[in-house]
Amino acid sequence: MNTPSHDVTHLLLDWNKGQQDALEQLMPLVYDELRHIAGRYLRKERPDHTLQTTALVHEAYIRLIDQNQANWQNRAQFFGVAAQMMRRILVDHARGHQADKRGGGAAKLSLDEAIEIADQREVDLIALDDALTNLAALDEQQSRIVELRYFGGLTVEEVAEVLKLSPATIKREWSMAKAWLHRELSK
Amino acid sequence: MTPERYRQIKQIFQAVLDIEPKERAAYLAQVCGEDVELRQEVGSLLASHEDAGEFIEIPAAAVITQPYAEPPNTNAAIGQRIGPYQIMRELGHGGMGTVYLATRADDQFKKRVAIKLVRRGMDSDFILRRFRHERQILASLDHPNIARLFDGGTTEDGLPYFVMEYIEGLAIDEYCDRQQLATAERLQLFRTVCSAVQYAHQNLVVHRDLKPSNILITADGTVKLLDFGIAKLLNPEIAGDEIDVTMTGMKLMTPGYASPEQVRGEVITTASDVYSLGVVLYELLTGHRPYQITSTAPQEIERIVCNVEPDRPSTAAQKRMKDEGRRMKRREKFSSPIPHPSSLQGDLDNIVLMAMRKEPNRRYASVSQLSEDLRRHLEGLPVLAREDTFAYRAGKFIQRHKAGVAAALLIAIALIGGMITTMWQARKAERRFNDVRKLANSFLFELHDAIEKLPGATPARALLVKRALEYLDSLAQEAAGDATLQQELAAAYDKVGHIQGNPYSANLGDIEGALQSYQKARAIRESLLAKNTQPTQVRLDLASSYRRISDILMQKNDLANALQHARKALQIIESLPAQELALVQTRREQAAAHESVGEVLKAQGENAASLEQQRRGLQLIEALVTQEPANPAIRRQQAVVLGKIGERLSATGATPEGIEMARKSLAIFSELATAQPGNAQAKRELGVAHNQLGDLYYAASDLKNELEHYRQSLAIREELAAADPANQQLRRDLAVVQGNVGYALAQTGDEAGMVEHYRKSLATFEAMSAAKPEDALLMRDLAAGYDFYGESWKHLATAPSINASQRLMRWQQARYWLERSLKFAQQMQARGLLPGQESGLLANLQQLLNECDSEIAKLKSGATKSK
Repeated sequence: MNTPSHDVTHLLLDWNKGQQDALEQLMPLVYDELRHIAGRYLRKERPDHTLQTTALVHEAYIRLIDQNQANWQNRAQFFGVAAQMMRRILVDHARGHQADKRGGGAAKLSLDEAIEIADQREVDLIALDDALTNLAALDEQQSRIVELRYFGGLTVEEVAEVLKLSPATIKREWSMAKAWLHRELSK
Repeated sequence: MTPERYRQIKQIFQAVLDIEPKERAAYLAQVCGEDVELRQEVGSLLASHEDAGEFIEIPAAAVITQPYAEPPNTNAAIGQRIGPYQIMRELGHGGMGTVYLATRADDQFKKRVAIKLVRRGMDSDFILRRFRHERQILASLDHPNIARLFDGGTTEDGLPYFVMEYIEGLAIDEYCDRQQLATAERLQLFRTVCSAVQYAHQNLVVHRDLKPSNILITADGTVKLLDFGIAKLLNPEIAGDEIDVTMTGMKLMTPGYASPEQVRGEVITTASDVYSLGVVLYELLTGHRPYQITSTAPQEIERIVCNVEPDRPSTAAQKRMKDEGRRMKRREKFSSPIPHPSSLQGDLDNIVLMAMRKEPNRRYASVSQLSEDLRRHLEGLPVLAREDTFAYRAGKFIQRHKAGVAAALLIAIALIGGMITTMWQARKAERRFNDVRKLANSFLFELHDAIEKLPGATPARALLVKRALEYLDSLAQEAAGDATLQQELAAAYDKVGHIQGNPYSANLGDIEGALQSYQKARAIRESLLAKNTQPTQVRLDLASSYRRISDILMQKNDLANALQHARKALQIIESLPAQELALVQTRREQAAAHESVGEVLKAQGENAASLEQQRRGLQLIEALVTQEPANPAIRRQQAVVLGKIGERLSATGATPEGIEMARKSLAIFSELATAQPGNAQAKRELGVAHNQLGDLYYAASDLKNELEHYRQSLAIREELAAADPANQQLRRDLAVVQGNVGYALAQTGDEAGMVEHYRKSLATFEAMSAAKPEDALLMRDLAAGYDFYGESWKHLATAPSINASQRLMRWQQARYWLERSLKFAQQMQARGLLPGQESGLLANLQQLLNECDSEIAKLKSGATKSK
């Protein structure tokens, strides 16, 4: 009988052939898989455990895609979709946390303090998500590179493979995108 | 910024990174040439690049699951020494660094000082060089109202610090509020601030960062200005000290107080301090900042600071007073005694706005001139400041909207403006009320209707409304004695209100503005009624005022108040004498009032009571129809009420009766639309009626008729939307019915058809919501769209004739869209945008999601077994 991986593989192949609605149908399926795997980590069952996004995306790929039918290009495309989905999962997760904090009556920080803490403690995922959306309007490729590296957990070499560019180009674009985003988030 | 510009910046940025740091400034100056903005952009990106460190280098997922890092140890410095100073405690910290209270260790008097320690990452060498250069000047600032700068240097780690006079006091705004200072006292205090700033300007020092937190008032009432010249020390400049242009732009200024030239990174002069003082004064007088800057995006800040005209202080104070008034009910007291709005009108409005003008050369020439004008105002003398002339504002308008609006249109507006001004003067002389009235009613509103449909006309419409209101407000003040003119005025306010935010027609989306206009109309009518002139007409108008306010309050989800207003409308009509009640117009108004009460009750979930009101309305209307069967307005009202009753009946379980009512309603709408083939509104209403009937057939599980009427509605709406593509209401109508058709198709098992219709529908909702992210109704549309799409998938997932893998896919699709809906609804709830009666929605979505999860889990374990 048809296994799920067969269907996802087919959607991926259809999309590869240029069928745009195949992508729309593919996303929920990839999302569901990633969410399940990520959920195990995000629930903080083991708080000391660090979620390795790369491993997670690879795991989803192996589970969903029939390796005999998919070629290299499909894999790259899959990773592109997965990074986008990871961004959504992680930003949603951060939003949930933000809401928890509000509900919990956390001490109100002045703006200055808040910036200071954000600088030193962790990246504000929600602000980053917004800034990245703005960046996409100016330079789609830079935004994709950040999505793949930061949300998808891919290495420079893997990003280069996905986008069919040289690692040197990825690094240059990354530097600029990082400086731009950092500036946006420091304001 | 445009993608082309970004590409240009990128090229230079990447080239600069490849060359030696020492040579970068020279290279930048060379490639950027005259383009100062470009140089600043690249400069600030380079600074950010140096500063970014490990930012986003570790993937997000890893960061999220890491336990919180150690909080920054700001207390590490306590007890330590900086130069000869012993740190006692932290006073505060911000973007530039941390400020500590310290004493000089070798000083037997233990004199207390404030030390500002610049944070790591800023260009230390530059700051120190700059400091050495400026210290003479800064140290020479010897004024009783300026905190002294004593010293500066570097710590052992190489971080720059400044030693300043330690001031214990309150920020000026807080001080004024706590001391409950009256307007005159606030102005006197502010003039002291001016004299200190003026002194510094005479010594060639510009503050650059004036804001309330830098203006302290000590316990004995002494003004002390902090941080004079510090902003300049901390702003690296690109090619040596001569060029007075800051490179980091936004980084070290406070957007709320920074002048347009500062925000744009242009040359900063004493005029910039005049501007910031204007903002501080604005805040002291109104309790509001002139701009709501919530964005951190530089383009957005620049847009607001450089283009948006602030409300007049008197208007801002009025708003504030209303807010406070509302809150007062709960808290029983004002939080701060800001001046009464009327005391700001005229001179103070003009003075503040002159200090805050966008162009430096149109502000006061100096701080002392500003201070002098305040003195003249306090002594009742004429002031220098004048309101911007209309010609000037029209010119600005043309400048700003060059691209968007046809020039001819603007000439027309300018012309009207000119005519009104002339007429206005003529009126004063000759009392030619009628001419003025004609101008207000026909020119402004006909012009509005004429331009409404032009693409890009929104700013012009907003300007028209603004001018109409200014004009009406001044007319209202002078027309107190003339009852006829007062009625005209009230009608004019109603029209302005419609344009601003009538929920039933194309509007500017300014609900608050509409509410204000409707309330002005109501107030005029109340006062007319008190004078007992033409009571019947005024009563009817007053009732419709109450209904309109009720509609707006409903939109604001203030249902209790809305109900009160609708009931008041009904009560006004019912108290009319019997012979008046028999008139057609009165009957119609009475029916409309029943309808309004019914609408609010429906929103409150009071189905039976709502239905009762609708039935009473219908009775009144049907009596009129027998009297005047050919009157289309009455027929239309009949159709509307029939449709509403049909919907109510169906919602309360009496579906067949409901459908019957709705079919009658549809028949009338169809008749009206056929009779007036060119009338888009009649056609639109027919589309609504079909869609509604589709809803009722859905409730009756009559899939064939459901799909049939949705499709009829779809055809009408496609035609209407194609004929008027800029019309947002028609666009939304179409998206709604596309979703409905999609939903019905899912019930027939047509997956491809469903996907096709929902794709179009959701794409429209997403685009509309993205264009107006604050619009609660559009957010609701989107959340509902995702929800129904998810439920459609869920329905398909339960189809009997599919294999396990198809079933799993469909459940996953359902889960995905339902979750998007839930996330959206949660965001709305967090922002208080989810009305009370929809609180069950979240639980319902969660339940659907759980169902999906368990089905997916079942199917997955099944798939594993069968592998």
